[in-house]
Amino acid sequence: MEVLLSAENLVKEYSSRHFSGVKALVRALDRVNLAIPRGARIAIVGASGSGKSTLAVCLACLEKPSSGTIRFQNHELTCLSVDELRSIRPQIQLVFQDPATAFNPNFTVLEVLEEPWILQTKMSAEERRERATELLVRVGLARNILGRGSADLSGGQRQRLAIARALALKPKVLILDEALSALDYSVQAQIANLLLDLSDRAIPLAVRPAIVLITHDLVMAARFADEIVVMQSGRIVENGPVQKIVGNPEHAATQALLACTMNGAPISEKRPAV
Amino acid sequence: MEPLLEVQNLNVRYRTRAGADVFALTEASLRIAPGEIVGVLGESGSGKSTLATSLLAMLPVNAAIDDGTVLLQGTNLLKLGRGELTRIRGSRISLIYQEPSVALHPTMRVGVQIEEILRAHSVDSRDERRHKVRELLDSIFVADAERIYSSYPHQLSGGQRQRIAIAQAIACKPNLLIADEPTASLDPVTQREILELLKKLQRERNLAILFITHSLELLDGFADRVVVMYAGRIVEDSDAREVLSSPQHPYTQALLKCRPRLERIENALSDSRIPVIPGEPPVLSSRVQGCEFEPRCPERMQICRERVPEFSNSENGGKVRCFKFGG
Amino acid sequence: MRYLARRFLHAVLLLAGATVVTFLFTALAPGNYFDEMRLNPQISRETLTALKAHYDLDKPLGVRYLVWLKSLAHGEMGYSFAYNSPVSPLLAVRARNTLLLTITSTLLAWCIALPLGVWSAECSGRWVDRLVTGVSAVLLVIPDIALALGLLTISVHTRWLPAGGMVSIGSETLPFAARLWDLARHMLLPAGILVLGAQPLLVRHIRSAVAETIGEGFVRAAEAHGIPRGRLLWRYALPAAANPLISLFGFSIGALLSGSLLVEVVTSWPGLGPFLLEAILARDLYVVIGGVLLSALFLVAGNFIADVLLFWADPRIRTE
Repeated sequence: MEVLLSAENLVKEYSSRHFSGVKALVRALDRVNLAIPRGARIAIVGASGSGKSTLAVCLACLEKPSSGTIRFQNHELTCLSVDELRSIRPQIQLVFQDPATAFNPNFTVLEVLEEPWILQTKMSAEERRERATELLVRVGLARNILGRGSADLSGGQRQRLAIARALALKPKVLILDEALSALDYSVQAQIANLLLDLSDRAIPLAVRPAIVLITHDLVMAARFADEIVVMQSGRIVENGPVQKIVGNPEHAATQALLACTMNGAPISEKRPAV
Repeated sequence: MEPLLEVQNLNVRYRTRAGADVFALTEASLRIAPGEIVGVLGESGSGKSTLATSLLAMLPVNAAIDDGTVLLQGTNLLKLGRGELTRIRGSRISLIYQEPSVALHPTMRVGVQIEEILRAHSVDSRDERRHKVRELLDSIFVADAERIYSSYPHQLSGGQRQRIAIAQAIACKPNLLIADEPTASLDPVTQREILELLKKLQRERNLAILFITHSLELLDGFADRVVVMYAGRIVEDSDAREVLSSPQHPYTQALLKCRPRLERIENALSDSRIPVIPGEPPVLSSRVQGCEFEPRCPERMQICRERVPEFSNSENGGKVRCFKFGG
Repeated sequence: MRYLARRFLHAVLLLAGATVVTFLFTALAPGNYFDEMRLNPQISRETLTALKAHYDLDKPLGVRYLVWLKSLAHGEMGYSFAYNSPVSPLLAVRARNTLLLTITSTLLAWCIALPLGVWSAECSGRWVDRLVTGVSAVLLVIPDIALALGLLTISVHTRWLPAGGMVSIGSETLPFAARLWDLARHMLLPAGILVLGAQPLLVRHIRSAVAETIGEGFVRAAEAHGIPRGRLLWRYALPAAANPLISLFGFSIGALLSGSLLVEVVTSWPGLGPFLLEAILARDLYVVIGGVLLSALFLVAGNFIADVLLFWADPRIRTE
């Protein structure tokens, strides 16, 4: 399968300054290698602090990695200029956990959706309205909420709107950083189904976006994705098809995550070898 | 057994700024025995947090309690004055919030924050307070209690902060702990650790816990009894294992189906979709005539639209508010 | 500690900048001390030129600045033409009086504003809060000078308070306690004007800062643990609101200082205010520069104190 977005030896370091004046380097990503094929469903799982969110912002070109390369189709993103990046960024979209902070609360639904078009294209107002309605239908929102304030929507509706906006520029990769975690289970199921719809195998590969679900919820990851990547302390410790990760986990971190998700299985008082 | 806490027919309503009413909690009745862990399962807007705050009589100013009593060992908390409530809170009934980062004072050392609570409940000697806090931290943290004592919240991890919040809540040995989604912001490994800790405290201190959550799998193997809430009402109240393995109320059944199970992942790989509950929960600004779940219910009947069902005994020994079982 | 070192360096640089700017501005102002002497027929042109040369006034600005810096290093801060004496000792005694007034008023203003603000926040929306907010609003619209003149008139008519000065005649002979009492009576009027003038701003800020933290999760959590109301306000809500309030404290020192210059003139408090005014009118160049710089020093010191307090109050700044 054709690899769309890939990371090679990706390292991201943050310097955290201690009050004594000693600078400490925190390695949030440590030599990460990852390949995302066209139209794939991938889940990245890990405990908090495992570096999965850092990987998300690096893949979406929102932060520059300290070293290593990110390749998108035939561009090497890590050595592109700001202007060149600008034309690529719309193709890799990121949706955050809390959509409430992602839009201006004073915007209406229409304004949220048409913002990327105003910035990136020369569409007429009528066309934007038409396309916005199409998007709403696609993410399962009612057409008549176009004029509503974005702050008046429920959590699930806001997350749908965030996904709709991410889809506005027809991205090839859609990354969701804990985008389901804050939602109720019934709403999570609806949004997960929406993601499954968007990446349905019946859609031709050329127009089907690859979806990367970043989460600490192994259950949802396993239900949604074809492939699971497990991260711990900035490293990818295990990856492979869902059946293998769930059925035959090799790394202790995967086993620990699995043990916590298995219903009712008691765990020891101590953190299992993390 | 004599219940530790008994909630009878509690009705809470919020008045919005526009002057409209939101009926957050309707006819809630609940009993908690000493040392019992009761899970409250519900989604946003189900009234579970309102239930938690009304048990400590800490509802916001725009809330009104229309009817009902909250009896803690026979005392109606809703009738007490501020001074008496202050004495009871923390010493007989305690609360843990969802976000430990928000619930801890940002500029006070965490050890001191626990000492403050002992001080409020008349542990007057400073040495005694310090000693008690050290002991408490030793029992709650596996290691490093000394360093944690003099740390500030921002120097601790999410799990450590939640442990501090728990230490605060149990410092004065209450009989009842109300935990409002205490693990929602934590990763699964830390979540489990916190649950283990709560279970240990329940065993060691015979502490009753009201555990409020939206994730049903947390309750499995943890809670003794589960209360399911929907749209401000308790719809099912039964033994935990029964609720999670053979739910009776159509809402509970639908909710459990929404959550994928790892055991069934294999069959799901055929690009199928997750079962969902159609529609959205009702807006609680007006009281509907019939059952609140009726519009989304796959098993609705004519009568469901006419009146609200009463509790009936279900096959598995629990109580269900549904006409399927009589009503 | 790096934070404090950085703030200190910042303060020093600010002061150095202030010397340049004040020097430049006073030099740009038209006329000087000797220009008015020129109108006096008894003083010859040669004498004036010699005097100017003596005080280096004929030299270019840069040289004058360097000369002044040198005299600063000797602790003199230049020379007063009118008093025919180095500036520093002249300023020192007045600066002491001004500091006495400003520090007292700052402390007094905060001692009154803190409980009022906290109380008002606690009773948010009730009559106490409305009364405090209302009185603050009224005080806010009265200009300081009107307040000063009003209080002065009252004290003159009622003879409750001495109408001016800092001590009564012959007070040096009194025992210590009586001298202190005399000083306090004299200070009550100027300090009262300053304190009243500062109240609305302080109370409003304290009220809003505390009201905000009362709604925070950790205050609610503490309430759920049975922390009594008073402790909740003073031990939990107020320290959490400290950051903006400490900045406000630094700012209030500056505001009260500049306010005190005016109030001193009105109530003839022998501080920097009247002295500076006199020097400006007489174009006593180095006294003006010295006075302005001293005020700048107090301001910068006030802000530095605020930074130190902030460092002490907020562990998140300490560990960055």
